[in-house]
Amino acid sequence: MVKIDYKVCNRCEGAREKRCQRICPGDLIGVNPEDDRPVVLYPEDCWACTACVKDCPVAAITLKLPFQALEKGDSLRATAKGRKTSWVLEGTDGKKEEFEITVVSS
Amino acid sequence: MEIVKKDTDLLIIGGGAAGCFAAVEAKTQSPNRRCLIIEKAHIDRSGCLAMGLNAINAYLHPGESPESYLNHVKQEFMGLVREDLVLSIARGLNDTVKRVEQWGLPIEKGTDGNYKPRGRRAIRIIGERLKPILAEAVRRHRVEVLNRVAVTNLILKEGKIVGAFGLGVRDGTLYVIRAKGVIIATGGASGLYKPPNPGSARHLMWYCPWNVGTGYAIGLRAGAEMTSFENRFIALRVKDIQSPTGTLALGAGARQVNAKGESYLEKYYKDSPVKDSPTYFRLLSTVLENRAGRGPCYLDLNHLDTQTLRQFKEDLLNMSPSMLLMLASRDVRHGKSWINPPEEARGMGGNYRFEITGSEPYVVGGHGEAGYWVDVERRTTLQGLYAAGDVAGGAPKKYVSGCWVEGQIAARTALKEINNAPLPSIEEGAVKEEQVRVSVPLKDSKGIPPQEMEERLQKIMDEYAGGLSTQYELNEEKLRVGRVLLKDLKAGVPNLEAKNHHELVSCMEVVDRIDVARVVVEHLLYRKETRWPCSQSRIDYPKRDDAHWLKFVNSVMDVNTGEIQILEKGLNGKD
Repeated sequence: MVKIDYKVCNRCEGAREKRCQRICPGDLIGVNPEDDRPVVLYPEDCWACTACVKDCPVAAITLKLPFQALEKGDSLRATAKGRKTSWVLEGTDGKKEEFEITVVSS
Repeated sequence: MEIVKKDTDLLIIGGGAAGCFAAVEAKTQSPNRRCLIIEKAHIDRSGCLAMGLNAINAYLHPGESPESYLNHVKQEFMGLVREDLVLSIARGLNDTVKRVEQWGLPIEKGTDGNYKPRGRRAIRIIGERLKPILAEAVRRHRVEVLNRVAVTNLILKEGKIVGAFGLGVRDGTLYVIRAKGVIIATGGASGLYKPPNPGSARHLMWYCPWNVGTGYAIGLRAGAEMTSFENRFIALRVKDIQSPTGTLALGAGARQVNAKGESYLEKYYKDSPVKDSPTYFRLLSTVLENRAGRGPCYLDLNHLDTQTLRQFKEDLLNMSPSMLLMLASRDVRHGKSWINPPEEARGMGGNYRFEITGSEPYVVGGHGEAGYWVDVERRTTLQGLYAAGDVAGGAPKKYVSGCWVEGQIAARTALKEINNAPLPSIEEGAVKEEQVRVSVPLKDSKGIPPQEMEERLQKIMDEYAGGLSTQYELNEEKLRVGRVLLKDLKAGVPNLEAKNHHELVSCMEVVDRIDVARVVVEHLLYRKETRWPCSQSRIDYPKRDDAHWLKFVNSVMDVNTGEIQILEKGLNGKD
């Protein structure tokens, strides 16, 4: 499931449809009309596809796995920018591994 | 409920691998024809390819031919495939792959300039952005796309398909779309069977959880003929997170070992009835090894060096990123180092391994061969309706590149048959009927939430139609119980309740799943042999019986009564 960090999320600068909401293949994300925040309305239906994680323009979203499948809080962040997608895997012990993959050829 | 009417020349239902390719082909051949894709999600990240892909498993390397490809597919599927369809796919594989490479897909090449083989018929791709690349091609070709519209039924007029109804998934708008030709490319069905994980992990599954069999269901309700729904697809996966084993076994050279660390494939190989069919064999041997008390079974990666491990991780990020979280968790649990290993991973206590299990069964035409009964031009049995990709049956192991080829073929056929006659009118009565059908769950009363009905369906299928809990085994009596329970379940459909438009879509999805599940059970009951182990294992008919069953089991649902009629078709695709 994905977690949105509201300290980082910029509400897509007031855009009516948020990027994460636009891209989620399960249409699981909505917007709270009171504070304009994107909200994962159906976290139990997440496929862990990371479409929203990669598309978020300010990297406010991380992937964690539900406790039922994996009882650890490791997290994965990603940013799709230009022809590259970069990833940061972070363990609960603070250890990190980073990747940068060219995913579209020129 | 607002009604929006739209007209187009070619309507493509589903903007996945097959749908995107069909659309690009249509606009390339006939730029002046209107082409419209309706897509339940957003085509940038929808369906099977939403997560990405790290290999294309159907490609002809130098030395291979369409005929050698057919032989392989035929062998893997116990001799029962539509040769005409498989050959037509094989002939187009390499061209479509080349085309997608030109659109920007990075593909690994060897020193000779050819694509580097990953196994005999596969290539390694950097496909994390594959879906956005396809969507971009669709936009470049000026295809009209309606995102967030879920198809609910085909429109049948005087024996011909003339369009489709769609539901706006966020606002409940009913779309009435008229078209001169319709290509169905929605994908197959997940969520028919109880998934391996509970609660909020329930969607950690192999197949896209939003491919719910709607493409099959709308065809069934319009009277289209289907084939091979008894050929369920069960994937051998990394336990709990359902990550691909191909990445480990083919991409990283992992061995399958049992709890004692013994390689077990060889042990079964000599006596196995399916040894020539590696895909079924890998799954069957794992099930048998567990049954013999030698589980859990694993894919062993202890041979990996640091550099290979790093590439392996990148492959996973391109296709199944959650696997990286499993690696990270292992780091802590076992005191091992999956993240930034200090030197070499090799020999660090034997913990570089992953438990593997079979997934729950799915119904698909891309890995398996369940789907619309089509001719070699991808015409379905309904005039004006063409099928491509996972929704089209008879041609297994087509994978993503085969779906592209089928999309192309379907588009060419549809364009040939579209004429300049005016679009037929659609009676207000038919629109009203669909409007009532799709809005019933929004009524203000205490009913059954769609999630509860979905779980009930999955429980019935799991227990009586060979799910995970029975290790996929089937017998006549249980299937008959399943048949009755599904009939009762279907009778409860009018009691479904949706609290909002999102739940309304879930209601439509479970209705579609029930129709597909009923057909699966009828097919499983009909085939009285065991053709594909695990996929279709009859305890009461444990042997493969070529003398009587080397033929297709097909079905048609009665448009008025909903009764399912079974038909037999010969190997040649005819009666």
